[in-house]
Amino acid sequence: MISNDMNLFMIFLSACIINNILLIRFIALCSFFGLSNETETALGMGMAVIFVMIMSSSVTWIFFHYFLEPFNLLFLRTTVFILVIATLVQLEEMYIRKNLPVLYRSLGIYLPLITTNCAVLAAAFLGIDYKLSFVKNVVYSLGVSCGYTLSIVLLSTLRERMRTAPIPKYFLGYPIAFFTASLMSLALLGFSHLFGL
Amino acid sequence: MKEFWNAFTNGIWKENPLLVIILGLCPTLAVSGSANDAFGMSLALAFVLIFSNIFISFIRKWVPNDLRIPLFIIVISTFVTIIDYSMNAFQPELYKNLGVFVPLIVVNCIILGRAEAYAYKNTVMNSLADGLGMSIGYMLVITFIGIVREISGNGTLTLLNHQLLYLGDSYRPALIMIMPPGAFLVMGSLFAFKKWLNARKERS
Amino acid sequence: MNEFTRKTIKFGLLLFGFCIVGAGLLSWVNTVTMKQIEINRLAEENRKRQQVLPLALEERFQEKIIDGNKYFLGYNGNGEYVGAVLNVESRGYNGPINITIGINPDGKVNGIAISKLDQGETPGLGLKITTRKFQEQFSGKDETELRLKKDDGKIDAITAATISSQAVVRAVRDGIVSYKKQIMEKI
Repeated sequence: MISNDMNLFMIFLSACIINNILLIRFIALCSFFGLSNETETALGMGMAVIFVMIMSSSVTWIFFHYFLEPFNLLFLRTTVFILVIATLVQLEEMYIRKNLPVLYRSLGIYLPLITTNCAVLAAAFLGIDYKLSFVKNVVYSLGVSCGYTLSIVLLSTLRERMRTAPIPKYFLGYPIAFFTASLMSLALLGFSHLFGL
Repeated sequence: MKEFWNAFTNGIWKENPLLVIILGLCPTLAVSGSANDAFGMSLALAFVLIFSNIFISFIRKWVPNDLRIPLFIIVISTFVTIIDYSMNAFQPELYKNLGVFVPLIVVNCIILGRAEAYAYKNTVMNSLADGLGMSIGYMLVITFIGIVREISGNGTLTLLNHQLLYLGDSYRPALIMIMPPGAFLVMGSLFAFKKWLNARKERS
Repeated sequence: MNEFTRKTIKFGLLLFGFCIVGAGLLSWVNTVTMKQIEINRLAEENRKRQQVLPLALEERFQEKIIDGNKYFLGYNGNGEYVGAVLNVESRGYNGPINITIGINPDGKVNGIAISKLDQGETPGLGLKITTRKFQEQFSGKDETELRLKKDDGKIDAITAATISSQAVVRAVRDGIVSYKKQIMEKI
């Protein structure tokens, strides 16, 4: 559980490890299994998520607190957030392609995928639900996206190793990836209630 | 009529959204710790899927191709907010258990996927059949996972807010099954089972 | 007007139209459901007050706030004081737990109520604080007995959920102590 009276480090730790968005909260699993075949892809996606998530949760925070809340339009939250995120991803893609070709070559193909990545929207929702201040919200989304990158990269390295392992025929592919994720999630559960979080 | 029937059965088994297309995993794993929550989640998803399918195929002739994705998103998010608020008002306990996964239906790949791949190209009736079939296919799988996890992990079974089964105090539940690792375990086994089934079918 | 401007205007109008229709629909849903949510909340609070202090009549409750503690003083049909209801909040394993305590005039617990909506504890473990079996233990206890058995009290903790049990016990004990200080000594 995260609240606004926690300090920045605790928020980061809780978002990144203890409430890991993939393995404990089960958000954005499609990309978790879909893009973890190779470490390079996983790392690229992770970086793109860090970049987009920090931007979008800041922008949605501002939208929520300076536009939706004062005008009593809370019921438009879902619609506004998803439209803001989709537009933002488009703008970022255009900007990066024009001005940062090197970055575009490594992240470009992942950016469109992020529009439908639930982690970005979920971080925006949760940051608001936890009533975080602006700075804490940024740190929270940094923690969430680092946790995302950490677990997806770890799973991809494990899956690369498993290619040479003798796996039962019917467990190849998705089933064994799920069992691996199960063990990773079990390991992360060991951190629960660390420092009373 | 035949087409209607085909579209309907397609989603239940041949193109089951969870087992075959593998979309919409997040809520499946997150809320299937109890059969009641799992069933409630699938009802919420069914509502959004069926109505967005009908509505999108109804307006498909007036929607310009370049503008379809933003319009789909507006339509879907409107339906999601309706179910979000209605659940909060009429099923507060279920709403609390499902938490952030209700508004997250908006990015559930099944709904946008069906809008794009089916409803945008087919008639209203067929889109309704497709939505119904997909919803039932999803419902069967997620409720099955919920039943397995709840019985093994908590020793109870609750459906439609009624307790159907209680294994008693002497039963020591395997708590891991209702915690996050258990979700991955059950889902992984289900995928392996489906693979075995497919292989057996091919052989015969 | 060239092709491009026409297209832009058409798209803009379409998007705008969809947004307006969607927003109108949602604002209607919002008004309807908000009323229902408020009705549910009041009904739930009433039900919990009745559960923890059955002797008091619902329409005779008097609200009293002392130092941030919200008491409902209960009276029966003859106007006699039969006890108070106090709402307290405690920090559990996964977040806040809201507890409704019914207190007898002599400062002992009459009953407590925690519904599933009041907490966010782990299913299978801490969630058991919402069971009748756990809550019934509190009836008739005073502040010296309101401790877990391992701390020489009389309350059985839930197996493998000591933090959730501890949170409830501590909050109820604190509630009783402040009731004695804030209400009992003044009547």
